[in-house]
Amino acid sequence: MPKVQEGDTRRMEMTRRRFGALLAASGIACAAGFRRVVSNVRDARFVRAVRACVFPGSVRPLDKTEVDKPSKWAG
Amino acid sequence: MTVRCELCPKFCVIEPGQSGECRIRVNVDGKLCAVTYGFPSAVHVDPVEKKPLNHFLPGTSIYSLATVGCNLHCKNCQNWEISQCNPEDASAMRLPPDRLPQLAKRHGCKSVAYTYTDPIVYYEYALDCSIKARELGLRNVLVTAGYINPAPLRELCKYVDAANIDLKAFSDKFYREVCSATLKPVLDTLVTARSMGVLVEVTNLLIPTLNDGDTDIRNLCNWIKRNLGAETPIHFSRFFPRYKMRHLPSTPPETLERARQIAVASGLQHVYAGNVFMRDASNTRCPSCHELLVERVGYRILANNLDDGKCPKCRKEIHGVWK
Repeated sequence: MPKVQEGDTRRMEMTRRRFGALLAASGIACAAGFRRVVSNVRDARFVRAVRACVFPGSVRPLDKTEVDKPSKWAG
Repeated sequence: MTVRCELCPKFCVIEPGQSGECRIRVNVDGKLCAVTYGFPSAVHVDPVEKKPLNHFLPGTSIYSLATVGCNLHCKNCQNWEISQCNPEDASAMRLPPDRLPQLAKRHGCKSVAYTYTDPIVYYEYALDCSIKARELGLRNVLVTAGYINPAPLRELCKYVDAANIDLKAFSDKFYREVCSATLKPVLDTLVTARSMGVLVEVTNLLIPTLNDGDTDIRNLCNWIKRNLGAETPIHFSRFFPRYKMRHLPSTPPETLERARQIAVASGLQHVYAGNVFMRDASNTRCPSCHELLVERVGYRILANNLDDGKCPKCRKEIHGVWK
C-alpha cells in the first residue's frame, strides 16, 4: 500500500478559503438552475387574448372579385 | 387594471382602454382583447412565389390575408397603410376561422398565408385559422418579421408548414433605429421555426447605406449557414423608397448581384434576388450539378423540371415542400 505523504493530506484538508470557494460555486449553480426554471415557467405562461365581438372600424362585405386579384401589398 | 401582453418581446403594459404598440391588442376592462380577430382588412389570392417562397408548392395559389397592425414600426415599411393603421380607422371584412378553409379551397388554393402586416400581432386569429385550415388539408404559411416570444411561437409552429421570415439586417443597431425592435428574438425565431420542422426561407431587404455592406451581408449569410443550414433559401430583396424612408434611393441591381455572390461564396445553396428583373435571379438550380430545376419569370413558373423533389440529372434531393 502506498504511503500517504504529508503534502497529500494538506491537499485534502478543508481550509477556510476552499470552503468559501465551494460555497460560492454551489450558490452560483443554484442561482443558474433557479433562473432556468423561472425562465421556463415564464415561457410557458403565455395568455391568449380574448376575441372582440365587434370590429372598431368599418366592416365591408367580402368581395370575391377583389379577393381573386393578386394584392397590391408586399408579401 | 393594467394588463401585460406577453406575445412579443416588447411585453407592453397596457392601461385600460389603451392598446399595445401593435395597436390591435387592447385592454378592455382588465382583459387583453384581440380587436381584429375574424376581421381581416386584406384578403387576396396570390401566387406563392409572391410571399416569396420558392421551395414551397411552386406554381400554386395561396389564400392570403392580413388584419391591420404590426409590432414593428419599420421606417421603410412597404405596407404601412395597413400595418401602421389604427383599427378604428380601418375597414375590414368579416371572415371567421371556420369559413376560411372553404373559401380558400373554392379559390383553388392549396395553402393559406398570414401575411402583408405581421401575423404575430393577430396571433389568436392566425392560430385558429391554421388549425381549421389543417383540418381541411390545407397548408399554412407565415410571412413574418419573427418578433415573437418562444412560447406562443412554439404553439403556432405546430400548425405551420412554411415561413418566410424577414431578417432585416444582421445588426441590433439597425433593428433598434429602423424597426424599433431588437435582433436576438428574430434569430431565436428562425432557429425555433427550423427546429420544429417549418420550411424556412429568409428575406433580407437591402437598403442602400444601411445594411448593404459586404461585411453585413457576409455575417448574415454565415449565421444562416451555421444555424439554419446551407440549404436554407435566401431572398435578397430590392428596396424602394417608402413611408418614412423616401430620402434613400432604390437598391441598385448591382448591389443585389453582389449580395448573391457573397451568399454563394459563403456556401448558401439557394440564393435569389427579388423585386427586380435579373437573369437567373429567381430560378432554382441543383446545388450539386447546377441543372435548372424551376425556371421563373417574376412570379410565373415557366418550367418545373423537379422529379419528385429530386434533380432529374443527378437525383439529388432538393430542400423544400414540392407536393
